[in-house]
Amino acid sequence: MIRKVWDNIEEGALCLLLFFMVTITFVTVVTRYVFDLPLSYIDQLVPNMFVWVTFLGASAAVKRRAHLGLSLLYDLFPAGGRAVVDALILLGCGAFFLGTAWFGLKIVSLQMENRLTTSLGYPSWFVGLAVPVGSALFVVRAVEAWARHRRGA
Amino acid sequence: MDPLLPVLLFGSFGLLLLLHFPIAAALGISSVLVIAVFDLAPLELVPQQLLSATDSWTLLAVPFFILAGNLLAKTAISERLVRLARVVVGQFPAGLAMVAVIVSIFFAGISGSGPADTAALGAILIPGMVAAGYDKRSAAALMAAGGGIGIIIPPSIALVIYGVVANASISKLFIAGILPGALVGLSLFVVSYLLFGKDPDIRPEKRGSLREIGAALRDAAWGLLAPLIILGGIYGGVFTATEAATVAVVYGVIVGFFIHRDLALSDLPGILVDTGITTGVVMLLVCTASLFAWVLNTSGVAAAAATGLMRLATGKIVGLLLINAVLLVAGCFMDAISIFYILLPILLPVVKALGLDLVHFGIVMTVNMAIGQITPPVGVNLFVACGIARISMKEISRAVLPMVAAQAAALLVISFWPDLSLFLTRFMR
Repeated sequence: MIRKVWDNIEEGALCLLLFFMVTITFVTVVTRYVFDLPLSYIDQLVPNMFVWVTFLGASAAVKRRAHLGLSLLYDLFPAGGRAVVDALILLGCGAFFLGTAWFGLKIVSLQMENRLTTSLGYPSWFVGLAVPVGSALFVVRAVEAWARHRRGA
Repeated sequence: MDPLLPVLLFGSFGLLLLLHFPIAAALGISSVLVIAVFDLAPLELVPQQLLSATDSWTLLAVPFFILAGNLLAKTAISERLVRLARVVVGQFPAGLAMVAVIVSIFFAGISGSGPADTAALGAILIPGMVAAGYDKRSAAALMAAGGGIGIIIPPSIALVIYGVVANASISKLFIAGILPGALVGLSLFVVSYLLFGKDPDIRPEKRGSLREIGAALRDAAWGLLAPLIILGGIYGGVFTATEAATVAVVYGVIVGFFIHRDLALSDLPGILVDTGITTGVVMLLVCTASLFAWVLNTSGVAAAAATGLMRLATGKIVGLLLINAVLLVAGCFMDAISIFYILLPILLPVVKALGLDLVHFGIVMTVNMAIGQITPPVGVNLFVACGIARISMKEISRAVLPMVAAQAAALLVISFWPDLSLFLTRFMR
C-alpha cells in the first residue's frame, strides 16, 4: 500500500493540479466574457500551480523514460560500454538536479524568513518549493529506474 | 568575452548529447558549468531561472492544448475523421494515402503536437494502408510526415513557444500557420501520388454512396467543428491562445462525456497523468533551455554569433537560405523547443536586420521544425511511426526521404512568399 502511494505520488498530484488549473481558468474565462467580471487576482494562482506540474511531471516522466535524448552513439556501444554511460548519466543528472534542489531550498528558506506572500495571500515559498521537491524526486526516480535496469527488469 | 566560453558551452552540451543524456539535462548541465567556471552569476540564479520560465500565463496554453488533444484522441474522433475521408476520397488513385494526408491536416487543427498526431492517426492508418497493399515503410513515413503538419497548423505548441521567445503575437502566429500548413499537406499529396498512384499492389477503395458520406459526415461533425471553435475565437479576437486552449478542453469534455459518450469518468485520471507527464517533458526543456539562452545572452555569445552570421547573410535571399540550412541541420539533432531557445537569441537580430516579419519568420522556423521531426537521428515522429509499424529507424529513415524532399520544397515557397503566411492575419481584429 505504502509502496503504491510512494510510486504514484507525482501522478496523483498531477491529476489534482491539472483538474483545478483547467477548472479555475475556465471559470475566469466565463466570468470575464459572459459576466464581464475579470477575476484577474486569480491569474497568478494557475501559473503557480503550473510550476508544480512542470517539476512533478518531469519527475514522473523519468519513470516512463519519456525524456528525449540522442541514442545514435549509445546504440553502437557494447553492453559494458552502455553500463558505464548509464552510470555517467545518473551521476551527471544527479549532480545537476541535487544542486538545483540545494540552491532552490536556499531561496525557499529566504522567502520563509522574509514572510513573502503572493497577491492572493498564500506564501511565496509555496511556488519556490516546487523546484527543490521536483528536482529531488527527479533524482530519486532516476536512481530507482537505474536500479531496476541493473536488475534487468 | 573569453573565447573559451562558447567552446565549453557548446562542447559540453554536444558531448553530453552524444552520451545519451536527456536533452533537458544536457542543456542545464552545460549552462551551470559555464556559469560556475566563468563566474557569470551566483548559482542561486539557476533554480530562479528554471522557475520563472514556467511560471507563465502564456505558456499555460501548452498543457491545456496537450490535454485537449489527449481528450479528443480518446473520443475516437480520429476514427470518425478517417471514416469520413475514406468514403469521400478513398476511391481515387493512392486513395488511402490521400486520406492520411487530409486527416493529418484536419487533426492538426485539433492537436498541437507532431508525435501525438502521428500516434493517434498512425495507429489507425498504418495498419489500414498495409492491409490495402501499401508498402509498410512508406506508409509509416507518410504518417510521420503528416504528423509534422500538427505543429504548423494551429493550435501548435511550437508556435506558442516561438511566440514567447520571440515576443510575437501568438494569435497572429496561429492564423499565419493555416495556409503554410495546407501547402505542406499539398506537397505530401504530390509525393503520395508519385509514390503510390501507379502501384499495382494497391487495392483501390470502394466508392462511397451519398448516403454513406452523409452518415460519416454527421458522425465526424463534432471533430470537424473543434478547429473552427478554437480558431474562430482567436481569429475574431475573442480569445487569447491560453483561453482558446481552455475552451478546447471543455469542448473535449462535453463531446467525450455527453455527445459521443466514448469517455468514462474512470478514463480521466489516465488522461490527466499522460498530460502532466508530456507537460513535464516539454516544460523541463523550456526551463533548462531558457537557462541556456540566458547564458548565451549574458555572456555575449549570442551577439557575437549574430554579428558573424550577419556578415555572411548579405541579403534577404542569401540570409533566408543560410538560416534555413542552419535550422534544418539543427533539426536533425535537437528537438524544436531547444532550437527555439538556443538559436532565436542568435537569429532574431539577423532576422530584424534582414527586414523579415517576425510572424512570417515564426512560420518559416516552425516548418523547419516540422521537417526536423522526420529527419533522423532525432526525429520524434519517426520514433512513433516506427513503433506502430514495427520497423527499424534505418528502414523508415530511407523511406521518409521523398517526404523530406517534398516538405523542403514547400519550405522554400513559404520562406520566399511571406504573403502566404501573412495574408489571413490582415483580416484579424
